[in-house]
Amino acid sequence: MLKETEKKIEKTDREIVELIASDSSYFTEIVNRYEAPLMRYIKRLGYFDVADVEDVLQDTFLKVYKNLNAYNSDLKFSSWIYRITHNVTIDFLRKKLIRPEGNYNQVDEEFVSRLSSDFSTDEYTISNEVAREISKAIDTLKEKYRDPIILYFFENKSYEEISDVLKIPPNTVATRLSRAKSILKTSLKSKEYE
Amino acid sequence: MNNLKKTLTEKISNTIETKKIKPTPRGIFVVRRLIIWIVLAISIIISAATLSMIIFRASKLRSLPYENLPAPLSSQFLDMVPVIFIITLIIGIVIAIYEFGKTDKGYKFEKTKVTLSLVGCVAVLAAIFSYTGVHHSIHRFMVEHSKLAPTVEEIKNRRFNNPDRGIIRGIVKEQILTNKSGREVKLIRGQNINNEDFSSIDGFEQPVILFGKLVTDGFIVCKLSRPEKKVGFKFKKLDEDAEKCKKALK
Repeated sequence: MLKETEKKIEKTDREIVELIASDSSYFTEIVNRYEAPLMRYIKRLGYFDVADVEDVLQDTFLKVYKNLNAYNSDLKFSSWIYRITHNVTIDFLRKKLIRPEGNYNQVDEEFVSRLSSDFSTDEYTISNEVAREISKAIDTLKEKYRDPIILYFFENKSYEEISDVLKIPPNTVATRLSRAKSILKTSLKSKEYE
Repeated sequence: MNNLKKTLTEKISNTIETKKIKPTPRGIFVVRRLIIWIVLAISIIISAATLSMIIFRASKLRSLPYENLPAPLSSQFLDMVPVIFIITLIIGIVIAIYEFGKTDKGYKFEKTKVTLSLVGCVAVLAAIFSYTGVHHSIHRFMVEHSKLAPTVEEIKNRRFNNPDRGIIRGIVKEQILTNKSGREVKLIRGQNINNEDFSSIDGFEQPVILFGKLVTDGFIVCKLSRPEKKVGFKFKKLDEDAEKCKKALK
């Protein structure tokens, strides 16, 4: 049993997906791998209570299971599963008529470090406090700017991966990220942080 | 957290078992992708066929029936490009852009580039249809059989068959002119046209345009437009020539 579990862990996502065709129990490995990151991602997209997050997560995994044969191996599996998660979450929020606003955009060292490379200028450096303000400001962005920012800064996705998740051209990802950063910098300047 | 993990995994497994959920067969997705590409191809072909029909009409209607009788620009455009053609062309291209966006990799391309590329494809295919003469068959089928727009012949008659204006058009046999709708008009030689020219009208195999005056007994011919000679008429001169003939015949 332990050996079997170890074997599952060694396999890549693509290999697991192929094995699900012959043995559906392998799907639990997908759930185990992606439950935590997808739960965090769902919480970043809107305000949810615990039951709602579970519902969305469950719907996401069921949709992933149903559409496994649609998965194109040219795409990274993580991008594909994030795409489904994003779509299911947004549909859920729209049904509940909730404006998507994140509540899980926590400030940690990695977030601060990524912000610093993009936001640090001669005028100000990024401290935890500034990072927290930026995190709040991200929540006020329009959906089309907020989604790439969340995927870039909080989910550490590359431009290519963001393009695959949101189904927009890579150039559009770059443009929207640039525009979002510009809006955040303006917001930061108005708070006069040093 | 472990308990929660177990619960969620169990929930999902139970749901899959109880509702007997199975992955959608691969064939369904293959068919879906195929349908997208087929609709995309059909949209491009229809748009290209429409554009080739516009090219066909432009070449036939620009100057009627002879090189030296061009029509006014506004009536040329409306005759060349009926509204139904414009709508079909636009809808075809829009559907093609939409379907391309639904393909597996379609989202990776900028909308502007996709639009320009698809319009380019439509133009190239339309040029191929025109070069191979396929546009003529398409036009005959779409316009003459299905009556989507006036045919070239109907436009020619509309422009040049106006007896009250002093212009008639048709095939002449034994001094009787028959137009497209089957109406027969007896031709009467006017003073300004000699016997030889008047008799030669019978020999024309193509429809001719005659200027003169419509009277109760028939049509008094004042002038004719010969296909083999470049007479140098302009369309707006048709009315002037017809007026001059009518005045001369008064």
